[in-house]
Amino acid sequence: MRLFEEPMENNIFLTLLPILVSIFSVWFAYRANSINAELAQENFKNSLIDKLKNAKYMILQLEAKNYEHREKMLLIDTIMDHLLYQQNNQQKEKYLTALERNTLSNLQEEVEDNIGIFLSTNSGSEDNKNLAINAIKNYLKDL
Amino acid sequence: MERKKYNFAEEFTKNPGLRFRKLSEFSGEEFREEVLENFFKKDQKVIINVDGIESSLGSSFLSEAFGNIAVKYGKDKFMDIIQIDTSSDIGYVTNEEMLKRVDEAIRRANGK
Repeated sequence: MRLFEEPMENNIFLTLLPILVSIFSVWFAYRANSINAELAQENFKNSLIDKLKNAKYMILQLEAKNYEHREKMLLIDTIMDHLLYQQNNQQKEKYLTALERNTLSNLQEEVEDNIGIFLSTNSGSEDNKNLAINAIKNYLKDL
Repeated sequence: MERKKYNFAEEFTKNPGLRFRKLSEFSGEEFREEVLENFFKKDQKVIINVDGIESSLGSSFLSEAFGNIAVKYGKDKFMDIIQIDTSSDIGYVTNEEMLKRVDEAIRRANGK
C-alpha cells in the first residue's frame, strides 16, 4: 500500500508547492508595500514636524520694524513654505487624516494673520507672535 | 458676454498682501471690494491669470477675497463668474487653494 501512497503524497505536495510559493510571494509583496507606505508616511510626518519647528524658530526671530510691502510679503511667504502652504498636496492627501489636513489649513491662516499683524504694526505686538507660535505648538502636539 | 482676461500681476500686484487693508497694501479686502465686486455687479465672467506673481496669494488673502465673495453671491454664481487660469503650475496650485478656502468660508458661514 505505502508504495502507492507515497508517490501520491509527493504529487500533492508538488502540485501545492507552486501555489504556496505564489501565496507567499503575494503576501511578501503586500507586506513590503505596507512597510514602504508606513515608512513614507513616517518620513513625510517627520519632515512636516521639522518644517513646523523651523517656522516656529523663524517667527521667534522676527523683528518689529518698518517693513516695505514686498519685503514683508516675501518674509511671510518663506514662513508659509515651512507650513507646506500650496505644497506637497498629494502627500498631504495621502499621509494626513482629514482632520490633520483641515487643522493644517486653519493653522496656515492663523499664523499668516498673526505674523501679518505683528509685521504690520510698528510696535509689533508680541502677543500675535506668541499666538502664532502656540498655534504651531498645538498642531505639533496633535500630529 | 466673453470671459474677460485679468492679469493679476500686471493689473493688481506681484506681491498680494494680507487679509485687511489696515494690515497691508494690496490686501484681500481691497481686491474683493475694488476688483471682484465689479465683475459680479457687471455679471462679467473673468479668468484670472496669476503667472508673474512674486509671492503667493496667501491663505488669508484668498479667504478674505474669494471666500467672502463666494459667501455673498453663492457658490454657483461664484463658479460661473470666477475662474483661475490653471494652465501653469502656479495657476493650478492657486486654483486648488482658492477652491479650498472658498469651501471653508462657505462652511464657516453656514456654521458647520
